Amino acid sequence: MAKRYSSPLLRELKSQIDPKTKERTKVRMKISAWIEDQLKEKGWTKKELAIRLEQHPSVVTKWLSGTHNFTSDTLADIQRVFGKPLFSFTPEKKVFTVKMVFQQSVKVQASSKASSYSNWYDLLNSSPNTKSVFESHLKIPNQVVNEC
Amino acid sequence: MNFKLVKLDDFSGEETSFYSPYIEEYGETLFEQFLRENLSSYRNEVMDILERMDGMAHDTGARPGFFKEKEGAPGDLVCALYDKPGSKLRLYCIRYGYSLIILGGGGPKSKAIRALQENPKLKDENYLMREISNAIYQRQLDREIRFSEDDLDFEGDLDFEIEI
Repeated sequence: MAKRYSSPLLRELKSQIDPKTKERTKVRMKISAWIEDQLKEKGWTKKELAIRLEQHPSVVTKWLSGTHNFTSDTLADIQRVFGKPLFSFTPEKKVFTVKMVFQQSVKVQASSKASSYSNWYDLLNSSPNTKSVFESHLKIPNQVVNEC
Repeated sequence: MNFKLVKLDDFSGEETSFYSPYIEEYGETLFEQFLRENLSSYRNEVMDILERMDGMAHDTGARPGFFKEKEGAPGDLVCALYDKPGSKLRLYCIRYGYSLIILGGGGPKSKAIRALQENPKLKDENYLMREISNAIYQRQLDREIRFSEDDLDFEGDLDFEIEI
């Protein structure tokens, strides 16, 4: 097994990485990785992608380098030829199943706030206090909320 | 030259591990030597390379497009990492798929030269990596070194003695 190694120099430099530029670098690299994955999935070469996008193959090489700052137009063109979205701009709709077992009949006075909640799950989790009030009246089994 | 392959804990992740030869004689790894030699004159470039290593380690793996490939002899897997946007530095590496990289040394590459052989420092660092790659390959053939099941580590005898 390899010896795990660290040193003050390595630790210091790692701590000095700027979170802002690190995140930018990461996004560029992830886009490159996505393009590479799509090429593999389609069985295309870099040259084939370049032809489909009317670009020089060296441009595709730059895209795959993990250093390219893509414009939204370029990304739109790439998505179009792969027929697959890189980003989804529509928020995913989450469906929750809430199971509650009533042990006794209770009166719940709806607060004015309640109407603004999209479902019981939000209401139950809106604050620890709200949750505890409900839990004191309702028997809530473990894992009452299953995200589908 | 005696060296031991060590895993750089601070820069390794779940997608890629970074190793470097620890040179007994220098008391540090080739990668640390590269950092010390270039930090004062090329700080931004060094930090750019470190950021990209972090991305590989934790997110993307060591994709071939991220490296300048075929920087060594045919089949020895020697390649180079470089900085952006200037592409001023070369850091020689040996890339074993997406999962394991051995970092060596390197230095600045002037735009005035095309081949690394034109710069004695780069040539030395590059040829050292070629020797290290050969030594590892020989150990693999002799079944004294193997990859771990997840490909992130070497297992076996990682102490070497090579002639340079």
